[in-house]
Amino acid sequence: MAVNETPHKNILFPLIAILLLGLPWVLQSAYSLHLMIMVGLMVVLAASNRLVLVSGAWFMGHAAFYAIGAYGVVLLRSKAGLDYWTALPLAGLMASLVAFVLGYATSRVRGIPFAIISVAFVEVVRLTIIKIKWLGGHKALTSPPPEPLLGIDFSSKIEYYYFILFLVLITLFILYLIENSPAGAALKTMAANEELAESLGINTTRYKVFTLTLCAFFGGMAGGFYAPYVAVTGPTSFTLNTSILILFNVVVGGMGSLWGPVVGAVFLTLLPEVLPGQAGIQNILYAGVVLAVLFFLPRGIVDLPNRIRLAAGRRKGGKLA
Amino acid sequence: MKTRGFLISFLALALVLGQVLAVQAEEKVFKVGAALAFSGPLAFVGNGFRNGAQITVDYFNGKGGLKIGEDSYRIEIVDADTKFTADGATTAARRLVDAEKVHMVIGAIAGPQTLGVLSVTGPAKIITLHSAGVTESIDKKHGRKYSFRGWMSYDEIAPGVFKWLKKNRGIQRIAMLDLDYESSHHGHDVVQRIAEKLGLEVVYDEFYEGGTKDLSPFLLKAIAKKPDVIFNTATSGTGWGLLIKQARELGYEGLFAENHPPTPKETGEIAGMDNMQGLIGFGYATDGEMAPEGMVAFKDAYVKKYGSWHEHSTVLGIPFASVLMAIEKAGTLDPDKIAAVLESGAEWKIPWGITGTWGGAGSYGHPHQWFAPNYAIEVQGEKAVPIGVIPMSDLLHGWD
Amino acid sequence: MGLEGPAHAGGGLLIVMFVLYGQVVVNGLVSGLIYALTAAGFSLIYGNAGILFFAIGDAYMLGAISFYYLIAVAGLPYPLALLAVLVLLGLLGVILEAVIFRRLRGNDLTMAFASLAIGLLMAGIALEVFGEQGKGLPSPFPGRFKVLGIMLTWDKVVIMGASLIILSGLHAFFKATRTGRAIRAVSQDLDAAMLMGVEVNFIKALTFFMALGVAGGAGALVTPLYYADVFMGPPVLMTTLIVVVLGGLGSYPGAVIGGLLIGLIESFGYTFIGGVTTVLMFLAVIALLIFKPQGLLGRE
Repeated sequence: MAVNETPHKNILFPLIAILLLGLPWVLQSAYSLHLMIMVGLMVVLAASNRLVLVSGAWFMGHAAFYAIGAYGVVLLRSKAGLDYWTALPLAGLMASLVAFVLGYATSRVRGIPFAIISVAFVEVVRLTIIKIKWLGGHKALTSPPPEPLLGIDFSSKIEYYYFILFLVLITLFILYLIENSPAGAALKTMAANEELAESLGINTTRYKVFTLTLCAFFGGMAGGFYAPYVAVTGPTSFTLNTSILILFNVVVGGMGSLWGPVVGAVFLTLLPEVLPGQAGIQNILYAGVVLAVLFFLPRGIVDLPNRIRLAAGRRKGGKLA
Repeated sequence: MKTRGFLISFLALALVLGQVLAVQAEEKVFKVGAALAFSGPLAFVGNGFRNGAQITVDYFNGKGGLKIGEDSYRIEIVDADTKFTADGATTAARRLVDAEKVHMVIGAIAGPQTLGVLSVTGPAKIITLHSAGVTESIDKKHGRKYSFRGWMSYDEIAPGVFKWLKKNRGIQRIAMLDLDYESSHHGHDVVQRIAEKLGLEVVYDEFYEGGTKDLSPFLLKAIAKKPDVIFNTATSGTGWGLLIKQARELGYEGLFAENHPPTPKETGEIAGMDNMQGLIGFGYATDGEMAPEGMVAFKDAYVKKYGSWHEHSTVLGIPFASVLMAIEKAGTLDPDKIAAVLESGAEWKIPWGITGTWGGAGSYGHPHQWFAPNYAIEVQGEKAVPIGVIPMSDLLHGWD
Repeated sequence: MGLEGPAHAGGGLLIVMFVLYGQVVVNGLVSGLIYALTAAGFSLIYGNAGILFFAIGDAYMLGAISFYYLIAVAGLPYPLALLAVLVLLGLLGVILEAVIFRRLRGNDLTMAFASLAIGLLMAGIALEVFGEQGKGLPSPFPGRFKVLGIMLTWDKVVIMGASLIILSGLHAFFKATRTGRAIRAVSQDLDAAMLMGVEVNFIKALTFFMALGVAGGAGALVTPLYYADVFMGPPVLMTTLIVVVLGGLGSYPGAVIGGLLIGLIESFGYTFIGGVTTVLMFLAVIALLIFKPQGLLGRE
């Protein structure tokens, strides 16, 4: 596999880079750019959620970190008068802090009880926002655009696009580093067999807290991006369904690779745009597609090239090319 | 390695889709975007609003289209589902403004969604006609130069409503139980204020979480306080129906009242027709002797086109006529000029037989609030019958 | 709701308190029994197939909607309609198991996701067929009466009765019949059960039949009390998860006791504390799981 692939690799990389950088001019309509921005947002969310899943923990509470990031930015700007660029990382840190506490508190909990805690967690965050008027209650809080950074005005989608592109690249880069580090190996061992990992000297608690905290940071940053981009932030955007949607993106894309969330995000964000009909039919088709992927591509869409190759190999008479 | 090639194909797919979804179509069409809830529990309301607007559109198209200067425009409504969430509304508005290039937007139904819509239509200078009860959606402090509220909110209507109820139904003690939601909180605040002003007493004021079906714990307490009326501020048909049914089952025999036209069929489905009798709502008169001929014509046209009457169809459909007339009067598509005409304080005798005006400069800094004759409507049998009128003075000067 | 009874201070107050508390308890029992049914369904599937069947709320919803059609459109009498719902939803369960879950390869996460997707599918189909509007039914057993001052309606009595019958039926089935014991055997130890010759596929089909039947039945029971619409699923799923956590995943008695407990807690909470109850319950669940992950009544 290696020898034939390398020349391709050298061309592909810059090609992708040029495409991504030039996207606003390649795409004609502002609405398409909006879609790509939403894809980028989902990539950050799905990729960060995946980190926790890779360590074996069934975390379904990502919408909560997303919410903390969004509300953090909104409230830090409106109540504390901070500017956006200060509020954004602070909001990310706020989400991380909550994750840190949650991680330690639940360090002894695994599997399904942990999943249920994460479900309850989303609801607790959402209901807390609703019940405490100071946090906004049911209101949709409006966010002005970010203050200009380095002279760049955030007046159109183009600036937002590069912003999310930047966030996506940073997120993927950091996650890539972690996965290919000894920490990454430790996480995979934990996922396979937690007791074994412990016996090998891996401090599972610390790793759990670490993944959750990092995941929350990116989730919070995604929320912080979301707030001024959508301009209105309300509790209805941060429900269990939101968490489930993020997980769909991970699973359908493929959990096995870091590209999974990317592919999943592109696919599932653009899918509803091409599905005909109103809500009911759309949901039926969407669910159908997800089930089809689960059936035929259990490792996700990223696995598709492999599967095609396997199928082709078999047809050639049993020998894999 | 292969996954990289894969990623390329995905980006290519995205590109293609982007082109496919890019805008087309450029004729002499006046496009009106409808950013409303077309899915979810409030789809009933969204569809009603939209269809009501369509009836007004049909009227204008029927007489040759919208005449702007020398040109005639065919009016067309384009739907975009807000899914009744704030970000859904923003996305819907984006699609309408960026992809569909609409000239005007109707929607959304409630506060959060409307604010989402306005965040897009405001900077794009698109005239927006909505029914959001929150002050922020039309007051000058927040800009809102192109935002017009077609539905009289609590602030406008509460004095008239409660004066009428006090005089004609003798109510003194008010109980309120609503879905926990921004509009209901606002509604409760207003009712508290008007109660104080009119010397009435609010004996119960609570909210319940969405999804709660068993309201008996709340109703027990409410009924024990012996209210004369249980007042609905913002809960939808099914929730309200459930409340009515359970209250009656717990022995409540008093009055039910709401700030909207009653929907006997829809609410009665859940509450039971018997329990609905005598319920009072408020809105336009489209039936019976009190209704202007034009309003009856609206209703007939609606029933003819859609098969059955929808009590909420008048909410945006009626003031929409005034906006279209203002555009014709302005003779231009320029939103600033249109807004100026609407703000001129004129009275608008719309084709549907009623005369309304845009006011509210005192409360909101500029006159972007629609005022029109409002009636007390009672459920009798399976119908909703207008039985009394709220004087215009109560609407325009109720708080003075 | 009148306050009959001696008007003087002490006795009057006591009666008021009794009636109020009594009413709250009755309400709690009604909803608690419904929760017990859905939780039993969820626990059954988890116990026997290891699947987190997140579509249980939507099964409940489909039960409500089909019940509406059977009564309002097909005109069936109440008991027949209820039975029909149990059977129809049960068959749906068997189909889901055979077509999807038996064929799906993958780990627990895949199964859970399949359940989520199935739920979405069910909700979408229901939306297309039923529409967004909620539809109610006239009361099948009209009339209300007072027991010791507490207001009861015949509808509520029937719901409680029917739930109890279904629940005890399940209980008897597990205890007394060979198949029932076989189901418990599978849930306790799949390998041992297989060694003993238990026909595992049949057991799984039966499990899904009972689980969806019971959840659908719960939906049917509440329809005349409230209404049927396509959005009923998710809140019920949420509460079911809480109940199951409380009672211990996979435990049938746990589901029943947990359901009743949650029903009562909700009822008391909503009456005396108000809307905050929901948040507090979720916080309590989190706390419980941190200290006792196997649930209040579960065994490790």
